[in-house]
Amino acid sequence: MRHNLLRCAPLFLGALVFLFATAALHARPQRAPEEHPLAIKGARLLLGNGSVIENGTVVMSGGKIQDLGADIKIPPTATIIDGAGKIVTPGFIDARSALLLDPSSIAVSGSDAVRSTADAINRFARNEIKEALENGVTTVALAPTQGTGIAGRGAVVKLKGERAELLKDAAFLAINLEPWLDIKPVNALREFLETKRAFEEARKYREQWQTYEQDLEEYVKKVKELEEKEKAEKAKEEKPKTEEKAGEKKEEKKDDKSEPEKKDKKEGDKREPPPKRSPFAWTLQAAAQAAGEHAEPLASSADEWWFDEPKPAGADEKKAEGGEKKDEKLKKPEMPAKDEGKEILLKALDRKLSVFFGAQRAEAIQNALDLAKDLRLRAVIAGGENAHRLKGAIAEADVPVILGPVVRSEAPPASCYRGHDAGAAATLARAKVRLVLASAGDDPLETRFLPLSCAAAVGHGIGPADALSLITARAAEVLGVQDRVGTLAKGKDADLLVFSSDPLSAGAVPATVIVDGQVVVQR
Amino acid sequence: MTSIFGSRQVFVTRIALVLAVLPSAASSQTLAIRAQRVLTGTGQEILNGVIMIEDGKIKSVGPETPIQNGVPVVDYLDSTICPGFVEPHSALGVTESGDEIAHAVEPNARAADFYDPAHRQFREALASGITTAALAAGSMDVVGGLGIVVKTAGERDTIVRDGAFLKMSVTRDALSDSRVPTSPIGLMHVLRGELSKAQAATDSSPLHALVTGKLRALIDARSPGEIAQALEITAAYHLDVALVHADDGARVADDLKSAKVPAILGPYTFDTPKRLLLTPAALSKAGTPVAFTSDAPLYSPEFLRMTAALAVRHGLPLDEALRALTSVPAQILGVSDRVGSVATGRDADLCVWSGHPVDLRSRLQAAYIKGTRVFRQQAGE
Repeated sequence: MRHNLLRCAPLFLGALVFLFATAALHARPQRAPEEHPLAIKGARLLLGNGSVIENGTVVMSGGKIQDLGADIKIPPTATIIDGAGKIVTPGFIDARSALLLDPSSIAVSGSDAVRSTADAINRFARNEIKEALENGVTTVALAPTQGTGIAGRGAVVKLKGERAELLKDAAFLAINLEPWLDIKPVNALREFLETKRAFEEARKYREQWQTYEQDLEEYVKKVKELEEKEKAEKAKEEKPKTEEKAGEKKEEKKDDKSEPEKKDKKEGDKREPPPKRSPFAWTLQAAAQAAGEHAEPLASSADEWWFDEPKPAGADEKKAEGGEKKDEKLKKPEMPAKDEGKEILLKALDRKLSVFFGAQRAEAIQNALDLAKDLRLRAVIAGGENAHRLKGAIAEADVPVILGPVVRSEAPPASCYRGHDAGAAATLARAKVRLVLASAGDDPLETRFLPLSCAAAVGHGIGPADALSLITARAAEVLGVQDRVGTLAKGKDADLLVFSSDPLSAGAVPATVIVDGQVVVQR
Repeated sequence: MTSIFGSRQVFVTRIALVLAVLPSAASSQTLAIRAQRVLTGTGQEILNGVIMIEDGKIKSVGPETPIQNGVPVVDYLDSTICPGFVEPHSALGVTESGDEIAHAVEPNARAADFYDPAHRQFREALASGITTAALAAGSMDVVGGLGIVVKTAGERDTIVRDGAFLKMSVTRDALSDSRVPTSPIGLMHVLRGELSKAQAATDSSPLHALVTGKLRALIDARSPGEIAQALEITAAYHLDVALVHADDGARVADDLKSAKVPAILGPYTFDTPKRLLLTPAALSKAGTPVAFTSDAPLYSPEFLRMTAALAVRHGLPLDEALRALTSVPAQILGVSDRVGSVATGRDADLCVWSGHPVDLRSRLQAAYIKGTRVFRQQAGE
């Protein structure tokens, strides 16, 4: 009896660990058995979009803001926090952060739109999460910010006490245009051209699919017509021989149908379809495609090496046979291969997915603007060290800028930092560029001092009344999560901070931090 | 209020009269500066402050002091004035490397020999609110040489004090593969040897001045172990010492206090671990005088203020942070009779801020060195 229990123990433990692991990232909203609403009464409410409610009250329950205003009713069962003399703001949002990311996830090599930052989040970085929350940062946007090319899809993550929770997966496509480490700018340019080509190929891929679908429709129609014709003929003649022939044809058709699906067709490939490949050859090819190179020769030579047997003659002959037997028009169209990467790029081309261009140098920013214009992308400039030099073009293109870092500790003239100007934020704001401030750091810890960056921006010209929106409402809008976070508003997530003094003043840290209606920090 | 803040027109007319009469009025030898708030750098806050300046020195500072007729007045009625920051450890304006790494002990090397007073970095430091800076020689040496304290702007007489301190280090930076010492134990051996030799000597070398208490040392010591070693040497040879970069010193706060050794902390950046950010508050609470450094130009001089702001965010009181930028470093460098506070007899080195200088929302509006305005914020910046 005990022996059996012991045997079960590892299984039981394993199940527990599994449950923990899955719960950590995708937690179901926790509900206390009898949840009392939470209210903050009589505080100065800074809504995040510039509006202020004096002597205001916020009522929260179920993780959401249920009501807020100057004279609202507080539910009788509510726990009330006295807000007298306090200032309440939305939780801060860092639109470009390295929190929860391992250095190897911050820097990626090669272009791959399929890469998903959500997969790389270190859910156990409790200290980082705690320090960020202590300083009022409740939501962060994560993406690889180093390395050049298509970095993958970024994620927006909410910090809930000890763990991080996905707020929006695949929130944007991150493309980095800056040289990394010892890569020369000329190589960054080459990566940029590769990026352009990747979009072009995505377009071609769509055309290919559209052609295929049209052809398929045509084919199906023609097959139907043919079948009906044959039925009619059959009905006329009533000969078993014809039926056999039809049956044969049907079988052949079936064979023809299955073969193209097995074959991996490359775009623009006019040659004879290659023979059945080994699974390894497919992986090689997929990897080559992801790297954006033409690995065709490599794959086929590996193929020839892998298979000693001669190419099965059947395929070509069958095709030819099929072509001969049937009408030329009834040649079944070849289905192109599904390419997830290209599908993602198409989403961007359809303006359904924002593209965040990591660009600091003026040339890189210009490249991003040009590409965005040519392809009609919903673009955002992230980093934007020299964006203030292109403020007119950026404002005209209505491309938002996520600016960071606002202040640099390194003294000039380190090459990448040439052109750094602490007054850049103010310059961009005056030019009516849609501006967001972010930590944009290489180190996970830099997120926590986002409010200091904001204060420093004020010190270099940003209007004090507008500053808070640059790390709350505007950030949420650019990340596409404004329905959930970014302002204090009815129906939005109850993410808020309670301060005893102006949130950007010297030494101001939130006395209370509330995320999804739960107090996660209380000094 | 009426005597100062009314009848402005009358003052102006009288100034015009006086200027017309006096032959050398153009040198503006007397000046009155008025501000909404004056922070003296020694803990005092004066509202509606008036600073009287004569011949580049502060003659008086007080609330609503009546101004004599004919004295030019400059008004900063929405601003806060504080002493120009004193940067206690930098390599500003150093054109060549200040490190003679071939020899670990170079007491006679002088920072004065290799800095360019016209260097752009001084301008950048001034724009960050720094009016006085100490230049330290030889950060890669055990004994790096004599430091110099200079003003960051001014036509002439920019040297405040040459040979103000001897720079030393017990950190790994002072070790090298190509010369002695190559290890921490070797470093202590070298140091003790040199100090013992200096005790026996009778010359006027810097090391002899050090061991006879006539010269202060700034010792670079970072980890608790290094700090302990530095304190031990200090006690053994009866040295007058301040520690630089003692950021991990919270654990030895009591030892620092009993040794009466001030600490120069920072620079802090956004990725500095929290443990180190808590040190200024911890040391200050235990009674150790604390000053900040930006290590400019290794870090941007802007980060002198940022270091103070981070310290305040982690528990250091605001007025202590201001002292750490002004009067405490001035004391450490032995120049507090000249700079580091807004007080009678000091040089009129003042910075005008739109708010409290440690509040990052404030911006520098103007800076004065010896009563002459040397910096003004450009409009629209």
